Amino acid sequence: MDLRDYIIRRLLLLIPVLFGITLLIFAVLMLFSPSQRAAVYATSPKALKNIDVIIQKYGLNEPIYVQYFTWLKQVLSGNLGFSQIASRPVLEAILDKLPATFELALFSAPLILIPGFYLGTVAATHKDKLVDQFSRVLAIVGWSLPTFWLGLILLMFFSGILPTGRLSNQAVLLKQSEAFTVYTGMNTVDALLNGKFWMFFDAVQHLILPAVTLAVVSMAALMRIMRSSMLEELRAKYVTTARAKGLKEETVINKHARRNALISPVTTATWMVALLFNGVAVVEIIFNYKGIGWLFIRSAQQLDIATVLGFSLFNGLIIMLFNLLADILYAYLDPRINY
Amino acid sequence: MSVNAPNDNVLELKGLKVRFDTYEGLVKALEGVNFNIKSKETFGIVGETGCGKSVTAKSIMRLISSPGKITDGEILFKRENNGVIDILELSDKEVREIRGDEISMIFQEPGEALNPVYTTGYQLKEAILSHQSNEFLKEIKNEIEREIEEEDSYIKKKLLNTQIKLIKRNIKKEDSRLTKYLSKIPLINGYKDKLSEKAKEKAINLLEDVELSEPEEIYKNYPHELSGGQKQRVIIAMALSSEPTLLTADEPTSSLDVSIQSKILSLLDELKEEHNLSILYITHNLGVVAQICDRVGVMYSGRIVEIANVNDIFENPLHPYTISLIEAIPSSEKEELNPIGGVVPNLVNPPSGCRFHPRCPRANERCKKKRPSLKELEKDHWVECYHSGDKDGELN
Ligand SMILES: Nc1ncnc2c1ncn2[C@@H]1O[C@H](COP(=O)(O)OP(=O)(O)OP(=O)(O)O)[C@@H](O)[C@H]1O
Ligand SMILES: [Mg+2]
Repeated sequence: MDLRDYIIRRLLLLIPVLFGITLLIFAVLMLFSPSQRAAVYATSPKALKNIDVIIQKYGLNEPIYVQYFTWLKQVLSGNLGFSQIASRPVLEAILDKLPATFELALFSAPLILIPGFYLGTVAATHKDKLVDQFSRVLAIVGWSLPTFWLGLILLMFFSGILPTGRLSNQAVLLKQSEAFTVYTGMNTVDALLNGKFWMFFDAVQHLILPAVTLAVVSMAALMRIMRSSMLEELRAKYVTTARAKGLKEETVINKHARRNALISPVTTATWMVALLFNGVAVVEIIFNYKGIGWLFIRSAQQLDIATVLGFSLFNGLIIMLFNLLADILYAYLDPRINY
Repeated sequence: MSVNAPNDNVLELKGLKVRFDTYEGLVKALEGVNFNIKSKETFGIVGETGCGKSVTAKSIMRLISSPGKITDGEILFKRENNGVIDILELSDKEVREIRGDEISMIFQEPGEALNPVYTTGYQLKEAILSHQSNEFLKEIKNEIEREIEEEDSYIKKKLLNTQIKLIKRNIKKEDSRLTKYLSKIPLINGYKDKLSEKAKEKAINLLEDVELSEPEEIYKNYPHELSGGQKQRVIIAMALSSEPTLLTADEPTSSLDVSIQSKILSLLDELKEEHNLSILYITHNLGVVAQICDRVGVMYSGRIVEIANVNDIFENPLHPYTISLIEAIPSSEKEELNPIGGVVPNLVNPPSGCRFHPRCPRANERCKKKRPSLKELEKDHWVECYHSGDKDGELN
């Protein structure tokens, strides 16, 4: 099908975009002095002690374009430098924290998407009725709460009921024991794969507060966007045609109006989810949930350049992939798109 | 609910009133509309923009949606079994059974009347199956029963029998969760493919009927891949899918090229003969009226002010509004309504008495105070004006 060609074409287009991202990051890197930049090339703490060697080895005093290619080669070979914060190579540090953030994102995303789309639709079909008023209040409350504030409030109300961190001590012990195999790094998934249901519930308990905190604002926004999109579609002429065919109202709403109403909110929703995968630092810090957002803040505070840049590269990659996903979903949902 | 009506009216509107509750106030869009459509005739409604033509057409199928409301009147419709019903008294479910089945509608803008995200085939099939699935299901049931007789394998027989049970549940419209989920299970939902196959066959036939070349292609196309004329033909095919008795066409050609317009008009004329249709044809083009209508109602600001045979309207218009419309026709080929003097009345605070009086050359005090009623001044020629009976004016 044409859609497949389109996806392939878009994937190829990623190459120049990636190139652009590396250029940007490199430009930022060049703002620092050679000795500061050395960390970006080092592979071990030992190497960091001999900064002059690094400067020599990677030509940090050479012309910029030469340096760019040396640096790019390092990046492509997986060397993002040494993270002082994590005391290990940056790539390893990121990969170590990634599963935590992904797990949180995977729990949070449905909390945004399902109520967002569902309540938005219901609010539109029951405009000015009780459900709609309820959704309006929910939206105002959701919007007006800054995430960090909501996080703190939840933390206050649920302290003692719902734990912070990622796992209880007991579960950590299990995780580190011989008997436990780490498959994905996502605790819930690994617990299930190891057949340890109590650990699964343990992990879920830890996820509830950060996941809800992350979801509320986006959910409220998505709900309102879906509502107005749906209201607009319900006024469309093809809806009258559908009714005039004698279709049930349920079919008119779900098959006809909603299918069209989804098109633009899906793009917004994809972006919301992309942000989750990048790790929301505020939430990770409030709940002491050690994901990449947490790592990023720690390294930014300490001006750990290598980690910050590695993180930026990762961010760029995620945004790019989700952007691609959004475009593909859009093309899939709307047959009028010319690819 | 049946009302005795010893006439051959397919449709009769009595005192229909429609209101829209808007921020600007209550829009009195229809203010007691009366007319009737006889069996197998084409009845036209003409009038300026905003006079309530589309609202009238939608009301007939109860398609007025919020903030609109039908507040008064009767819509008497003669069903295929000859019983007469008042559409306004039906339950929502009963209205759905009539919509698209006994009364169909063609819309003003074909470009927007089709859902952009579904193929024409999908939308046609949907229209077909919304009223004819039982017929098809019965056929399929018979086919499967024959299959069972010839089938030796015990398991296959069992599966086919399950299909029959499901079909029966579907025919009885038992929309239970169970039926819904069962009909998703592969092996036993084979009848659904057959149903879809039959609907497709019928859809292609319909596309041929409306003289679309390459119906197979059009079936697969999305609306945006078709021209305006093609889209309108698809919509006509959809409207005819379950052999309606009444077809409402709301300016079906006004957004199309002139050459395509006349083709669509002659197609409608042919289809009318073929399918024994009665047509309500709405337009603001008097040329079109002359071409295809048998009788015409002239609409002004939410009222039908004159009804007559086509010839009488053109040769002997009686209402001052009709007269000015006809005088305003330019002698050239273009027969769009020319704007006549004065402004279209505001429907939130309409003029008192006869709504036409501010623009009427013959208006007097009486016209301002009380609205005249529709009277049969000549045989089959109804007019709503104090002055039409005598040219000087004070008789009625
Ligand atoms: N959804 C609505 N909300 C408010 N007012 C409405 C609505 N729909 C129609 N009306 C009012 O009803 C009146 C009649 O509208 P209608 O669409 O029937 O006009 P029309 O005769 O079909 O005009 P046109 O020739 O432009 O199609 C209009 O003046 C309009 O103000
Ligand atoms: Mg109209």
